[in-house]
Amino acid sequence: MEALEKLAKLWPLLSKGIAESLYMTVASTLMAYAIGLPLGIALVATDKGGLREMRIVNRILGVLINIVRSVPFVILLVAIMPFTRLIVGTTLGSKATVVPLVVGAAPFIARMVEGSLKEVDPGAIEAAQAMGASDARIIFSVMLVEARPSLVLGAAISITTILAYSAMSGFVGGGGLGTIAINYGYYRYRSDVMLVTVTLLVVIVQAFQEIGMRLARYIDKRART
Amino acid sequence: MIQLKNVTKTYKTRSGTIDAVKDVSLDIAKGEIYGIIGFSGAGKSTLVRLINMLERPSQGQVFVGGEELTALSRKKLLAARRSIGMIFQQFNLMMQRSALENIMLPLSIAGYKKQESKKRAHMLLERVGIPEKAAAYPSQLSGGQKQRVAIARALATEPKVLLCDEATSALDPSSTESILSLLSDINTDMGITIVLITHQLHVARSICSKTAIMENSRIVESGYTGQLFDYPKSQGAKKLLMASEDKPRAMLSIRAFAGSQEAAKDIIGEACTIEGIGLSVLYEGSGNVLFSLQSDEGSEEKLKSFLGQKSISFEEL
Repeated sequence: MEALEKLAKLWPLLSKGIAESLYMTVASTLMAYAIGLPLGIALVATDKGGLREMRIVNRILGVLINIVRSVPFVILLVAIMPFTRLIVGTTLGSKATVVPLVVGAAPFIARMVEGSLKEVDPGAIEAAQAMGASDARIIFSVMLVEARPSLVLGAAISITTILAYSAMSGFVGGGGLGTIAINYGYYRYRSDVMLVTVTLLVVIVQAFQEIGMRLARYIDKRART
Repeated sequence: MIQLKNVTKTYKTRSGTIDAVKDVSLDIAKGEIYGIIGFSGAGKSTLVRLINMLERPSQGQVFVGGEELTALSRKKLLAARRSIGMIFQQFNLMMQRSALENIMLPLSIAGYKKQESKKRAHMLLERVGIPEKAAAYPSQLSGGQKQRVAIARALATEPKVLLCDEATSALDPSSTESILSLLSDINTDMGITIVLITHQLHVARSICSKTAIMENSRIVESGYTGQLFDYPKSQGAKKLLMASEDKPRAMLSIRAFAGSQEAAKDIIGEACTIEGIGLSVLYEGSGNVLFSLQSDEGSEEKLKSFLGQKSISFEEL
């Protein structure tokens, strides 16, 4: 009972943590998609046999993406602090964390999008070409439409990954549930707080993943009979 | 309607270059159903893609409806493709779009208004005989129904030419028949020129007015379908016709040199009594006999061994 009362006192803090975590995650995911989606399209279009085959461009993009992806997120978080300060004016709090989250997640999303678009049946693309569709038309009316269920699944994976990244930012004062877990659970030995924040993170990840999978299944027109 | 002039398509590979299509010239008249047959790997699929420039020829010129496609800018080429419909072996429908939406896609690409294209799509579904499937998704349709949707989609922008790449090869025999009769009807009703690529000889035989035979990237023989099937001249054509499932239909000619009129009569008399072979015989004069028989293995062997026994020399034609 006592333990519960203690936790109840922490509720205002926890609810603020949840709100911040969700804000960081959703805002970063949206912005990371704004960069990652076009990048993913570019990767597929410039690849061998793509709509606009440009091997050199493809190579350069691939290497750049791999470089960012190979930096562990905790390192990236600290390494780009000057850049973060330049953009938002501070390196503390959830708003500041959005910057490294976007930088870290965009290349990841680009690869997810690339994977989804490559699954599109080349026959469908050829049919569109035979109709006289332009490349832009093929991307928007064929590839992105045919890949929709796979893109949604990818988005579910991306958003949960970004949530996990956002929790890491707790170590450098990034805000959200991660910061609560570090400050209370780790530095103040409040294992009950640690347990609660971790549980909350697990619940949120499950929710995103489940919603994503259900949505993907719902919009997919292939599996129905 | 369609003219290919000395068209060659060369692919570069690591181990050198491959000519998928070599120096092919074709002239296909308006309203014709033109078949192109050959073994797989002969270059048929590449050839049909040269007609709508999905594959750009390495050499030569392509004309469709009097317009030289090989000389067009990219933008004009895209517009020109709207007058060339195409259907495929695997149907290539958009899996995330309903039958109706699939047919509306080329219309929307061609700039039709939504209401108008919807109306047209319904009309086309009616034309291909499945108006009740408008809302169905491809995964809910049978192979034959999918190909009907694909045909409706290909016809949406009122093309002058319809290219069919192994359009019936993934279908069961009864769907094949119904799709072929649909194509034939469309050809009659709309006067659309159809180019049909297939490895199924009976398909070409049943609906093509003219047929070309492709072997090793070249067209080895072409002409009126009946004539071509019954009297193939080139080695390539004979090989293809004999290897096919239509074996009994392919004819083989053997000329025997009996020596004298007398001997020829005897041979004709005896040959006709050999059991289990069907032949027709023509006396050529000066002691030569021309046997024409169906080239299923048994008959050919029996006749040859009979002639061998009689020590009569012969040649295959």
